[in-house]
Amino acid sequence: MSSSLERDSSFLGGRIPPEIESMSKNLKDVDQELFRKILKAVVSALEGKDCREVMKAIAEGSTIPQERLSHIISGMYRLLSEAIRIPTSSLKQEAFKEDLRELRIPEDFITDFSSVVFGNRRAALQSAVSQNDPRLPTIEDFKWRVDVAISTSSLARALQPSVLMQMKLSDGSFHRFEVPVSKFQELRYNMALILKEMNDLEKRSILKIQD
Amino acid sequence: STHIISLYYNNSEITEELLKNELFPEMSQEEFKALHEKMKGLLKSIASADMDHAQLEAFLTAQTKKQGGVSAEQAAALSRFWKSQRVRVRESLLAQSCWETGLRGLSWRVDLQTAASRGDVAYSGPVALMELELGRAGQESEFVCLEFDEAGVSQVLKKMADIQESVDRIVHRT
Repeated sequence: MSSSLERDSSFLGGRIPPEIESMSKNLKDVDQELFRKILKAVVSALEGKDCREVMKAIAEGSTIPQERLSHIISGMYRLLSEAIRIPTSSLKQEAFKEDLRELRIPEDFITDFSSVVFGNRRAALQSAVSQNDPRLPTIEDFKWRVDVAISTSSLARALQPSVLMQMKLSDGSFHRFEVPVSKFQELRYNMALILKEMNDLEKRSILKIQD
Repeated sequence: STHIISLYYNNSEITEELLKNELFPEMSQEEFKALHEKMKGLLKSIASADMDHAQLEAFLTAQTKKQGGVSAEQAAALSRFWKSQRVRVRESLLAQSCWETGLRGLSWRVDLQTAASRGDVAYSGPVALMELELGRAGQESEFVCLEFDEAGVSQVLKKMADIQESVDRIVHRT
C-alpha cells in the first residue's frame, strides 16, 4: 500500500501530506451525513468565513472523538486546498478520483470531494483564496474638491484652479494632495491609457493564462 | 544688454554682485543698485497684475514718460522679457502660495497575475500598479503605491471626468 501512495503522478506530489493520510484512516465508519457537514464547514473555512460555531456544533453533535474529528478536518482542508491550487486543465477529475481511491477514501466521499473541486463552487473558492495573495493597497474612498486661488501674496489676480484629492486606501492610510490643473491632465491621461492597456490585454487572448 | 538684467527675476542663485560684474562692469555700485531696484519694482508690478499685452504697453508707456522712469530701451527690454516669460513667472508665483502636499509625478505598469504561493491562479484580469510621487515644497518626495483592477480604474476615471467638468465650468466663467 505504501508504495502505491508514493506514486509521483498523484496531485498531492510524491509524498502524501501526513494530515491527508491520517484523515483517510480516520474517515472509516464516518457516515455520509456527518462527512457532508464537515465538508461544508471546511469549504466555508477555505472561503475565509468564520466557522468556529459550526465546527463546535459538529463536535458536540457527533459520537466521534474530537481528536479523530480534528484529523479529519485538517486533512480535508489540506486536500481541498491542494486540489484547488492546480488548474483543472492539469488535474482531470478522473485522475483526482483515482488519487483519492489510492488513499483508500470511500467512494461516496470521493464523489463529494470531487463535486467541490470540479463543481460550480470552484470559481468562488478560488477567488476567495486569491484574497490572500500579496497585493498593494487599493483605493477605498476617493474625494475631491476644486478650488480657485483668487489672489495670493505675490499675484493680485491669480484665478487659478487646482484640485485637492483625498484618498483612503485599503491599508487604512489617508493621502491628501493638491493637483495643479496641468498635473491633473497628466494624471487623467495616464489613467485613460491604463484602462486602454487593460482592455487591449483582455482582447489579446494569447496572453490569457494557458497551461 | 539691459534686457538680460530682467532675466534674473526668477533665479535666486544670481546675486546682485554677479549681475553687476557680468553686465555693467563700468557702472558704479550705487548706480547699479538703483537700476536693479527700479527694474525689480517694475517687474513686480507687472507680474503681480499678470498684465496682458495691452496692459503692459500702457504701463510701460506711462513709465517712459514719468520723471525717473525707464528709458525706451529698458521698456522694450521689459516688454520682450514679459512676452517670453509671462507663463513661467506666473507658474512660479503660483507655486509660492502652495503649501499642501502636491502631486509631483506618477508612474504605472499593467500586470497579469500568473501564479501565487497557493499555485497557479485562474485568469483574473489585468492589474494596474501605480506609484504616485507626492511632496511638499522644499521637502523630499514620498511615494504611494496602489493597485487597481479594471473596475477601479474606470471608477477613478469617472470621478476625473467630473473633476474636469467642474474645472471647465470655472475656466469658462472667468
